[in-house]
Amino acid sequence: MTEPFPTNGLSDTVHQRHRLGILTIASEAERVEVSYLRDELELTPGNLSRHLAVLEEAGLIELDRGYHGRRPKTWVRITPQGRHALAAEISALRELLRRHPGPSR
Amino acid sequence: MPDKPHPDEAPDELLASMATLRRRTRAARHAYWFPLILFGLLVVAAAPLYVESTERVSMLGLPGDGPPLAALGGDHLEQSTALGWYWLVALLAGYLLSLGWYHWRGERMGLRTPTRAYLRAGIIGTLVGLLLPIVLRFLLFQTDASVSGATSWLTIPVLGLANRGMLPHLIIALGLLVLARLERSWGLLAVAACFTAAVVAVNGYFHLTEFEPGDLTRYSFLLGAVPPAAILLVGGAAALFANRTARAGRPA
Repeated sequence: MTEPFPTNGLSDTVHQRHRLGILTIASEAERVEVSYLRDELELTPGNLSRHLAVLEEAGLIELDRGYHGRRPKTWVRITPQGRHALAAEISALRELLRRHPGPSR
Repeated sequence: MPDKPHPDEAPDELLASMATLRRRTRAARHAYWFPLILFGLLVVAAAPLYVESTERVSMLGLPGDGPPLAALGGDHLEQSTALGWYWLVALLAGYLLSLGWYHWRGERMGLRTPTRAYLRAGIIGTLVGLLLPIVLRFLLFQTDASVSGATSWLTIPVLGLANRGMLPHLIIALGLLVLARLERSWGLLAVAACFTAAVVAVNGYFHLTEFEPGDLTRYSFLLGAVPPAAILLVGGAAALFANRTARAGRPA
């Protein structure tokens, strides 16, 4: 029996540079504020909120909306499914790299 | 509708970019200079309570009759009860101030470090520190000779450490080791390991040395308890410096 090709492990939702970035940062903290993600990933507010909506809809992150003083703040928290999806993506990418080493371009 | 994956995103580039983000996020999250300096100062501030008023004749000390909540001060010291109260307040204040620091910094940075396990380590460590001398004395003096004999290799040195008022050092070390795991910091792990090793070495020296009358001075316990704080203070100062340098080097 042949091994499944590693691209089968890549998820359409997760396999996108900015969404992987969001999940990577969120996995390193208890929760992360949207403005931190925006600065770190150099995204516009609209672009970031579109990626967050996709990840939230897939159950990979949770959004806590609140206020700090009078300023509205949105915090992002990775869910257990999100951690699992991130780990699966990393394994699939590593496996791809193992099977196809060498310069990528 | 979800975006299509970018076809030109090569696995090695994605993995490299994730590794960079992970490294930057950890570096931005690191804030352990504060607990290191705080606990270092708390150890230094306890120094007067480790000084005796007269020269010591031997290492023997009578089991204390101080309140159980002051058990962290041990039995060997003249000011054990005061030291016990000091450490109870200092440990709780140290842990709460550290938590406040992490909370404040997390709000300011937009990046919160998980600290629940650190709080748990502080509370459990302090409770164990209060109960451990009682359990050790029970094992050593109140159990059958076979039990006390079989466990004496552990109970005698640990009770000695507790009696010298150095259990709080181990409670601090435990918290820092947990914090190193939460911060995913090798630097903090190295400082916490060096501090633990220094505390164990000092107590090993006291345990293994056969003191003759006159060997111990008024300052012997002070010289055992306070110098390990230098490791925390130097480690904290280095971490603060590294933190400032990293922040200055980041694009605005």
